[in-house]
Amino acid sequence: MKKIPSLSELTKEKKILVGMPAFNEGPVIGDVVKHLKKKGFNNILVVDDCSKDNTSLKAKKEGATVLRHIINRGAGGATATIIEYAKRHGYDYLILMDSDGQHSVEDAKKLLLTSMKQKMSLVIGSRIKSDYKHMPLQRKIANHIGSFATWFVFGKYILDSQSGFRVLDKKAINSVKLSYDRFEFCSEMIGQAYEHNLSVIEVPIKVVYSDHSMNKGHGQNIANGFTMLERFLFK
Amino acid sequence: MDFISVVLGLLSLITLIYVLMILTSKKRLPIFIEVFYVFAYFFILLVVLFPSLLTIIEESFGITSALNFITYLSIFMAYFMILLLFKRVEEQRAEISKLVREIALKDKKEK
Repeated sequence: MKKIPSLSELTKEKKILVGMPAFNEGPVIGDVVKHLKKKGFNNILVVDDCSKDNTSLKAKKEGATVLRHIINRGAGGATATIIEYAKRHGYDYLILMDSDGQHSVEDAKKLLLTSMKQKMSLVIGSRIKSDYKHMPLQRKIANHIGSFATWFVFGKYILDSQSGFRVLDKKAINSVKLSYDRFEFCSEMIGQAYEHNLSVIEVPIKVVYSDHSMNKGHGQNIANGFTMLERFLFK
Repeated sequence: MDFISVVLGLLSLITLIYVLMILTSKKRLPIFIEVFYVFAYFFILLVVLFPSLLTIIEESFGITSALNFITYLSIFMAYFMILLLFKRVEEQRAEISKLVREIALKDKKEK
């Protein structure tokens, strides 16, 4: 099996940022940041989307940079803040991942490596390509509606268009300008990537659906899928 | 004048006074909305006070039922106003997001 290069090798000349939107992730965010640091990711940004718990404190304690929204704006709003931060600080690569521990650090490295080696501007971690069986039913349905909406509006079919696990290179960081505050941002980002003629690829990833991630109740669901379809159609 | 006309007349009068109060206060509404409400409620008041006005409208514009025409027009206008409001709310949402983002980024810069 081919050895994945170490992060220090990957980040020798490139500025890499890991960005995570977070809302009420107090119980898990500390461990997620700690794990990322341990694996060599030094620049970690957490955008606390006006959490009611100690998310900011826990993330800061483990050494992450924390930006706090004074009003809750949703996953899309927080992601737009991460992208703006990466743009202003001149990062070469941005890894977007969930803050609830669903995504693995090894997969983050795999996505980053794909972007670097294949010169892909937007790399999407696809659950459907690897882990479809374990995806909860309501997320499966929401994902299909989202993928259909993405195809219908932008003419491109992405299997896992609603995955929040992504890597953006400098071109994508500078091109993407999100306007949707909720989960529609996933499809919007793909559409903008195609509008700017950026290369897009899906890479299989594994996702851990913990009790925490399933119970927090603000992930993708069927209603979100329909809202997204309606918003794109009547934009 | 029947009971319904009296109630409708009173409601129109109260609404008209309320709109005029907004017009003279510091918290103004967009000019289009203000003009629409003043004319709409003033017209309703006139029709309640002078029902024969509908007949004049029917004869002047060659329509069979002025009341039906006004009802349809009102529904159309009401939905149009809702659409404008949605647009305004959406613009506000985008502005708030931008503001929240800038505050978050500025806070970090200052620390």
